[in-house]
Amino acid sequence: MSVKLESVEKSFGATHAVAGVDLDVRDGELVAVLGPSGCGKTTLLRLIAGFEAPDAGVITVGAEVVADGARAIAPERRRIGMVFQDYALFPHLRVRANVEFGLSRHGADERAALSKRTLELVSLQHKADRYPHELSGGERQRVALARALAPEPAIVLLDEPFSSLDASLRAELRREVELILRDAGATALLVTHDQEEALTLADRLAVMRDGALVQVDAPEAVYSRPVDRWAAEFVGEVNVLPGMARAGKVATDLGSFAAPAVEDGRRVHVAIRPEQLELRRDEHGNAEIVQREFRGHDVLYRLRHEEHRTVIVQLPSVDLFEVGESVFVRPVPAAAAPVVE
Amino acid sequence: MLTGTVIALFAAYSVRFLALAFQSVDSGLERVPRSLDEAARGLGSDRLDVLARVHVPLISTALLTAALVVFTEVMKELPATLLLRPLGGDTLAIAVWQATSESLYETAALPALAIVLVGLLPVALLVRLSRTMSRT
Repeated sequence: MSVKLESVEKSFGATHAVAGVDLDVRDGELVAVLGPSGCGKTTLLRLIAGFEAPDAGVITVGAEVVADGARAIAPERRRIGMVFQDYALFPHLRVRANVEFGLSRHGADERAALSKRTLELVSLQHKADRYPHELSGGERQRVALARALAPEPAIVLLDEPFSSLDASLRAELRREVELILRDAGATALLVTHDQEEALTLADRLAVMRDGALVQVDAPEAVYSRPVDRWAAEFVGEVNVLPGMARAGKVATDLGSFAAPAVEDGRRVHVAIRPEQLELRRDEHGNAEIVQREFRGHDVLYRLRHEEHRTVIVQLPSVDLFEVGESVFVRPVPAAAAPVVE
Repeated sequence: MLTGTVIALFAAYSVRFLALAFQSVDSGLERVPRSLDEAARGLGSDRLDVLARVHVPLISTALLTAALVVFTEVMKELPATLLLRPLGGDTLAIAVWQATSESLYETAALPALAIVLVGLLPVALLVRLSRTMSRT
């Protein structure tokens, strides 16, 4: 089911945790809210769940208004499924009882059938009689997900669901969770500070800063066309270059880029991603390699460009350049650098 | 007016030993993370349901500990019992006190021994409880 937020606001004392957020999560969609810690993203989730009440604005789940500035429906009557950062499994209950916790209004037969089906969805039917402390981190997370999905909620809310897992497990579970959510046909809102997580999982990405959403778009659009410098720098790595607009183009030290909407003569900044630049060995080049960060599948070079500016370039680790080498750096032919400032 | 009734005794004991029981239950509750409350609320439980299905089972050990400690204390309590007890109703502690105040030490021996024995039971139980608690 869809969830809609209109001009939602929430303050704690003098802090505007959520300052006028509009967001529309469509039926069956997976939306990620990405922001640095303290940007208000967890508060946003708690407002939808009903653990906090908004000061102003309207929150709609499906066709029902669950909160406006005046009143808020209790969390137990909202049909939301929440997956917590620490999973919050009930330690005194077995896996099956955890999954059945939200099914007390169903008959015994229906309850058993639903919990069986949900445990199969997360491939944990063989652990149904275990206690949470007997499970691995990844299994606990799948139980938490199953427990949230079993009552067939209108929306599943996930609060930093991968942050307490090992890095090696994270990528694998990310894919698994995505598949489970899609299999269940669930509408989901995920909150994270991990850009890789947000970029790979989400249908749409909402970038949040200081309580407001700065950009809501498909992950590839947020990455390639950030709305401002902050968004460009927060999502991925980027070179921000000053330039002058002329005849629909911005001329910078690293070449000109199309910028049709900018009026002539304006000084602007463009953002170019490190993988949109290429290097060529050249004794009389325009840059020198200062640092090399080998990352396995690729390499990040830090260059001193024309004696002063630092430029970062990311290349596949096929032909390695050495620190101190003189190179010529330029954008790849298809490079696009959006104006960000 | 209530002096000399069981109700008065209960009231007195409650006031006297509430802090003792509260400490144990409170430390039990502190170990239940808030996310468990919220998880249960999100799954359709109202506050009362959360109390019954999450808190009470999770702090059952703490509740039992509190009950045993209070039981032991009540058993040997003297001043409040002396003032408020109903006519004809004596506790072990009062029997001991009455006998000793009249230097009837042989008469005092039996109830005194009974206090020690009955008092040992909760101690044994408490030891077992603390063992299971440290295991989980």
